Amino acid sequence: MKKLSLPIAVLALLIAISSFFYNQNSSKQVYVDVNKLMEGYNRTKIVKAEFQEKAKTLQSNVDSLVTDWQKELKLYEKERSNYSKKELELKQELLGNKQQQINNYQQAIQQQIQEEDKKASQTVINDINDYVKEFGKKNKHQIIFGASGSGNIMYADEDTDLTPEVLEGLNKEFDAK
Amino acid sequence: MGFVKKKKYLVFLIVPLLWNCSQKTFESEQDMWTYLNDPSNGYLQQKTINGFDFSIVQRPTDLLVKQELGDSLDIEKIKGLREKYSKYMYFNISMSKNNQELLSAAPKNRNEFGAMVNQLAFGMGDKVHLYTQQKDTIELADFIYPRMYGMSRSTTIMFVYPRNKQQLQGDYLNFTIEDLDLYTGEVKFKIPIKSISNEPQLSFKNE
Repeated sequence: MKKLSLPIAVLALLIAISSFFYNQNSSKQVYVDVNKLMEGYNRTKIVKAEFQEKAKTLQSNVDSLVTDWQKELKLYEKERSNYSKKELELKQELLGNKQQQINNYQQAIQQQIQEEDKKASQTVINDINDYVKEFGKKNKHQIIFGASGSGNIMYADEDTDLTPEVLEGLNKEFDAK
Repeated sequence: MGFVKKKKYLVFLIVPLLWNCSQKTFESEQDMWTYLNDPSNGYLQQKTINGFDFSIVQRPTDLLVKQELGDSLDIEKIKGLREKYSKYMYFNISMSKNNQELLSAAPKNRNEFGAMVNQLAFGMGDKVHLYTQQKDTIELADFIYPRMYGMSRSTTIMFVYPRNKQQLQGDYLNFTIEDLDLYTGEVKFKIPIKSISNEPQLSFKNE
């Protein structure tokens, strides 16, 4: 029994030392740069490209309506001398109404583009939030701050920046095949 | 003598391991639901995004067996039903806002209401996806959306997927819900494969 007591004591000491360093490492305050994560995340590029494609289609619908209207306006200006007073009034009213409709449509499209942008960004934010949460739990961090460049973290030592590590894991998970 | 001692240590090591891996068995549906609804057991996951609450709970095969079986305790019948239902995996998705169904909380006018009814009743197959870590999609077998007409606190839909052993490898499956025009973005849950392959059972004894 006496022979065993020394190795056991050494083992206990080693466990105590390693657990002290392990806990110290995981309990220190760390942060991630949210903007860098958003920019560096591979899904952001894909989502952005999809959104731009959608926005382009929507905008081109508006553009073709505007072009049609401009053509009609040009024709009206060219031939206005041939119209009677009543015809002129009617044509002006028609063109005015059409312009109003195009404006309304343009506003609706702008709103739709904003909504699509919001949805696309939220998807990326959800992914980042989920991953950071999982990362924190897995690595037993007590707290992970999210710096967004607006002054919520004024100074932090380089060692406390987990952004590269998190970004690597995030992209690895997204690109997994 | 030393060998007997070693054996004792082995028992101490192996028993907790086996205990951990063994399937949990419950006497009643209520007991099983209590277990399933405890997030620490890994069967229920919850998220709140932009005021909308999302939750997913895996529904073990035996709960469906019990539903069809009723009070009968016919062993052959239980075996048959287990075989029938174990070919699929079942997930209940609940979505709500302020403890109300989506149809009561989200649409702002008749058009939006109509579009959402249509989406929930017929279009969820295009909005919900289950895929492996390697991005292999598991094709949806069916989904059931029972309309509750505002009497429930959440919109709950059951999704059914084929249980294919080849696809149940790795750590988890990804379950995603596309944005249902709620500005929540895509909502993702990671379903641990361990909880699918080791799902709890009912003992089917007299309660």
